Amino acid sequence: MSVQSLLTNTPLPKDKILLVRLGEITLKGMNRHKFEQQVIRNMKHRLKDLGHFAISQSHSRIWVEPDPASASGGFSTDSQIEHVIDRVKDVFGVVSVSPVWRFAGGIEAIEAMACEFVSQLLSDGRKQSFKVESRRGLKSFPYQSPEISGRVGGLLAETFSSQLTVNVKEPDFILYVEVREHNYLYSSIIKAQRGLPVGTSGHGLLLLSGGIDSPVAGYLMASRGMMLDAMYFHAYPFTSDQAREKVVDLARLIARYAGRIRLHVVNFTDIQITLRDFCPPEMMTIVMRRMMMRIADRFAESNHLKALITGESLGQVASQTLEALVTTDQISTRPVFRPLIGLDKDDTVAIARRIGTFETSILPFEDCCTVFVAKHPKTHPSLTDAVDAEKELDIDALVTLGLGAIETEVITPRYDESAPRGDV
Amino acid sequence: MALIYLDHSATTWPAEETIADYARDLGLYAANPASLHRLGQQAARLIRDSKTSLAHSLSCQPSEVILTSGGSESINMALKGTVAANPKRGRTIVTLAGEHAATRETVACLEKQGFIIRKVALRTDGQVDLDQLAAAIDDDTVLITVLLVNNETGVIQPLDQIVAIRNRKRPRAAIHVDGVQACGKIPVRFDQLGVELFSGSGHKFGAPKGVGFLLVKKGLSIQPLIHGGGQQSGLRGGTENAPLAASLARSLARSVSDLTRSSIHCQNLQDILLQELRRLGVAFARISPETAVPQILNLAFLGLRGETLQHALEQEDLFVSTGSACSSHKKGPSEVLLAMGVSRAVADCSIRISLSECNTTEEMVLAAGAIARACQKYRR
Repeated sequence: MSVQSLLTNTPLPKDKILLVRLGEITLKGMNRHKFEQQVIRNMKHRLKDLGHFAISQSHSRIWVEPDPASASGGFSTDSQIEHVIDRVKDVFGVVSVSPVWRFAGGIEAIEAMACEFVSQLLSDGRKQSFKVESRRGLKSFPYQSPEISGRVGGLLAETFSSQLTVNVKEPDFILYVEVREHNYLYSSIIKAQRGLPVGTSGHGLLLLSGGIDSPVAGYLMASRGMMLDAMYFHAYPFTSDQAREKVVDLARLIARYAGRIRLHVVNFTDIQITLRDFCPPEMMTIVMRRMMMRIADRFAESNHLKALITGESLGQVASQTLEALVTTDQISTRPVFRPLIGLDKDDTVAIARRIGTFETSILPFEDCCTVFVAKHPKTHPSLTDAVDAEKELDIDALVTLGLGAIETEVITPRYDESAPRGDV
Repeated sequence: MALIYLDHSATTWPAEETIADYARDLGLYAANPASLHRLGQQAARLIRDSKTSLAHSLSCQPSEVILTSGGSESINMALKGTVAANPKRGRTIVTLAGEHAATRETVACLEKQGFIIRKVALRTDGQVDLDQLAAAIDDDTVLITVLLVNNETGVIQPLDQIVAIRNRKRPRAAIHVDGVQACGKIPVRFDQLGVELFSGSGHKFGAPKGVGFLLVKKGLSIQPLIHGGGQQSGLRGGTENAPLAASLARSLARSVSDLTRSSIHCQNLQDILLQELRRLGVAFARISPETAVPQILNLAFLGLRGETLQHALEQEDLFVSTGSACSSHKKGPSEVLLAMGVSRAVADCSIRISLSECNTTEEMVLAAGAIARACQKYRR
């Protein structure tokens, strides 16, 4: 059978499916299974509203395809597969994804399918260079990897001689051929978020404001497998309901990566009025942050959240000098993770842009940290300064007041495309 | 406390009668006014009648009325359409500081296209500095645009004097009046204003949102913003909306006939509100001058940010605004107040109370009480 005749025939039978590669998890030795199962669970959860999918696993790879019980032949349209890729590449633990053709048969079938695959890649008429890389997992297959590459590459170069040239060093595309229990063809490898699957590194409480930093801090901790709850301090009418909506929106954007988040909104107004009336203005921000830490820490204690997460970066503002951080750190009885502590603001902004939180973060609504900011806040407070500034406060009563005024909202991911994001 | 709405300059609440009439017309005049059949012609007649009514309310010719989607479209059309149609008259546009965003952004757009923009400063009473205005107008001036009643302060510009200066220095320059806040608050006689263009917006005087008008003096050539099926003498393409046009005309007629009574009523409300605030010992700075329209009152409560006060009052079902609702998504103090020389600290603490004939004296007493409570609790 000539290749030319194959090309003019109707498409050959194949399944269009998705190959998902896992990264760091494969290093996890004895725990590997646990990590893999968590990635699969997270993926299923993230794909739930897109339909029924069969997710299977072999070696360190995961295969995703529409549930064969409801559809055969894999994904039926490119847009369907793109939607799934868009979700799967945001699941932490996934290193890359590739849309793949799966089919049966010997070397002739591989050659014919390669021609069909490449003819689609070349459909825009542009000249391109290529090479073929093959892997033979099925040792009984009569051709070795270099032989497969040689046969398929030679045939393609001959068939599409007007458009294709071989370039093994810097090709425009690589055609990957894998021979296992089935044959697989693909050319694109789409990078994903990497990291560890959420749910494998415990559960932390993110102190979420409406700014640029804290959403990034949450994203980074979730990328290390930490499940997130979030806490926001709302001081209506000093801050508007739009500020609260903005925080909800940010939580929804983080949930794309971190999965479902419980957002706890603390009514902070009366506490803030008390602080305003009884604290020296230059210590206001420090005392306020210490109050937030206390409430968060006590809440975390009773909700089994093992760490606090903040978006603080050393020296960024007056309340984030080393001395100021010491005064707030001292409050918490659990570790306070500050993943941005050594990052330049530009780097944080770059991450915020990439993950799609930046545009929402810069909406101009006040958060409670910017209300009552003193003209000259104390930048190097000692612990004694902080304790002195709080001496007229009934701390326990204020913490109880805060803990008693919490509304919890369960936040699910926001997938609409109004939030621009960058490539991984 | 029942809901108290003191934000009529952001938008008015349509009267029940307006809603009922409009709903009825939606069903009655659904045909396309450009259709040649009887139903279409009935809709076309309603539009003609509406324009006649609008012309009567504004003392102009029906042929001078162009129906638009609202104030912003009218202003865009007035500015962009006039300079485009009159390239030989000049390249300089004169505008005032503290204009509404619709004008500010349109002239900024024209500036990018190469036009020269001269912004004339305001005096501390909010009126334009006439000497500076005269100095800004020269032989290259094609257009002068004036916000007649300021939406944040209620200050009325001295249009007679502005027209006199134009007539003396550059008779060939056209004058556009942004009359969005003027309609229904001060008398408007287009035939006597001495200006060439006048913009208005329905929802500021009781009509639904999505309809407004631009008056273009006979003889001034202007280019359309929206090209289409030749509607409205080719000046504004798009199927005309007969029920909206009718609602616009009825609402304007009503507010023009109520004008004197409504102004006296609002002045009375304002007096009561201020008197109550003083009686309750609430310190405030009055930003709107006494000569401003009585419907708009801008006050600053130092030590309490306007936005905080607005939200605090909202908790008591009392609705006011900070500056202009049309630009409240932009951060920072009001540009209008800064242009009048109000300090940032004061501007930051200002709110706009805007009244209508629907408000009552009881509401003023309740509003003063709510403001006093908010000041006591949240003021620094």
